Amino acid sequence: MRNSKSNIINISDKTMDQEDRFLQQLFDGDAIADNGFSAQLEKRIKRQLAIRRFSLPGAILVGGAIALGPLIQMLGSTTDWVAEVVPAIDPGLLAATTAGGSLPAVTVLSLAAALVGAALLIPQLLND
Amino acid sequence: MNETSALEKNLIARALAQQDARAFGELVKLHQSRVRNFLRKMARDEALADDIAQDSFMLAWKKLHTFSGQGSFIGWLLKIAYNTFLQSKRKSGRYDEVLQQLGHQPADEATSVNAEAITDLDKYLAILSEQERAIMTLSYACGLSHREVSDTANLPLGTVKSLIARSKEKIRAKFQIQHHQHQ
Repeated sequence: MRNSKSNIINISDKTMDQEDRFLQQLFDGDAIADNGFSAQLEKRIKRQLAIRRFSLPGAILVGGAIALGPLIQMLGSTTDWVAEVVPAIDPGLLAATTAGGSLPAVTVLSLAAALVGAALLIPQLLND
Repeated sequence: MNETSALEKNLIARALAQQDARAFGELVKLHQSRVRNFLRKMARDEALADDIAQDSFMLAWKKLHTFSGQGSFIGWLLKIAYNTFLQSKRKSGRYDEVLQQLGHQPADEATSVNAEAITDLDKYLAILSEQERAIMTLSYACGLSHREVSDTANLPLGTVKSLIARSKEKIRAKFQIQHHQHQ
């Protein structure tokens, strides 16, 4: 009894295997040739990488070019303001910093440092 | 059970560490046939399936860092492909157009299996629901184990097994296939 039951299970398993093979043959079509599929995808990825790599510097350049005029204007008005305020605090300082008749060196340097700091910080913040 | 091969691991590492599109291209070359084959059977339109395959691989590139290395890489890819297919189907009416053109229902009279019918997989696919088609294709065309199919289709293992059994029964009944016929 035990043997015959075991035989039945074996026959059933064998039949399932044959059916599985049949279905496998049926579903498993021929391999699909690449025909430029992966090359096209590689191109898309490279394009995406390039866009990501150049978009931020590009945006900074364009933004910088647009902001250049107002920035120069702002710098001019700031130096005028500093020229008015500094003598009120320390009358000797302006004379010392503008000895050559140029823009106040301390003011220009601090503004330039602030701009460089901002330029370094903004891309970092954008990246984060 | 498919495992991620050493070659695949190497290519994945290169693609991740160096953002190497060429390494990812090699991975695509290895697996495009199975992914496109699966999507062609699901979408039943070659151009549409290839578009979905492109989108699937692009998504795989973006999500490559999330591949844990456990389980097979092809299983992971097919999971993305299946989800992309389902999303694209929800978004676009193109899939429904294709199904309408093909005629979702097969011929009224039951078809006996002959050499011609065996090569015409469409007749078999047409009687299966979309979920059954996915499960059967993943299992028989992509060679995934039941556990991998369950993971790919996001279904419990028991459901996968019963879907396969039901699909086989449908095919048997509709096409009058006897077990002894497929020897």
